[in-house]
Amino acid sequence: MPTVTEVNVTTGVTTNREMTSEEIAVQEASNAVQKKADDAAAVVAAQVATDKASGNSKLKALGLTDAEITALVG
Amino acid sequence: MAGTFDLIGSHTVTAAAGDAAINFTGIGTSHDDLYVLLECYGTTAGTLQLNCNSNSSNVWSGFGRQFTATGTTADFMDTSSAAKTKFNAALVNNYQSNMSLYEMYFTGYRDTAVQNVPIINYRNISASYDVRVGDSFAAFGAGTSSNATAITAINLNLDTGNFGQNSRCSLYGISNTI
Repeated sequence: MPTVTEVNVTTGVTTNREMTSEEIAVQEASNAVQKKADDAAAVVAAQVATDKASGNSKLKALGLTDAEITALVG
Repeated sequence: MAGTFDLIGSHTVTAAAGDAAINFTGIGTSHDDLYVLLECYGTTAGTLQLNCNSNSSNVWSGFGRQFTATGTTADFMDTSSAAKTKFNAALVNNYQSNMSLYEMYFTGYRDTAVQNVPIINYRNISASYDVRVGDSFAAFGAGTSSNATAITAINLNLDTGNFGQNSRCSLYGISNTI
């Protein structure tokens, strides 16, 4: 069972105890939500990178130089 | 302006299995700001994430940027506009002898009307730094939260595994001079 350390700064008492099932559930749920958001953000970032590369290739196919493409899109 | 830093709580992880969470509770209102210094080791390999929350359930949003020694950059922390219940910061290869050092300032933590804004500054120190420069990086970020009550507790955990043995977390109260 994972443990939690609580430092009560008012009393100066440090307590190490096992996490309750409720705390574990809350932590796991929160981490799952964050992981889902991170995964979604990664998918979006990957698509943006793909679109950027594709757009860059198409501009080059039209005859633009790298400097001209950079001037256009940054 | 920051005047004095008073150490008001500290914990060093001694158990070989580590601690799943470190919570500072009972934080009073005798200071102006709070400062957390976390020297962090993980217990699992790979990319871990530090979760920081206040009063167990406060909603935070934030953004940050990390920089590696090889010149690459990446976003970290909460990059969406949606409200989050935790203030997140990425750890890279925080494993065994790799240490991440975090600094967090909770400015105006006792304010009941104005948003509280922490600033995170951290760096990862890799045991293999000499041969894998990319493992070492620095980052900064900021987050904000609007709470109707003062912060009385700060909660820290990792998204995977535990704070490893010898991890140390210290909480300071800052008294401003003006």
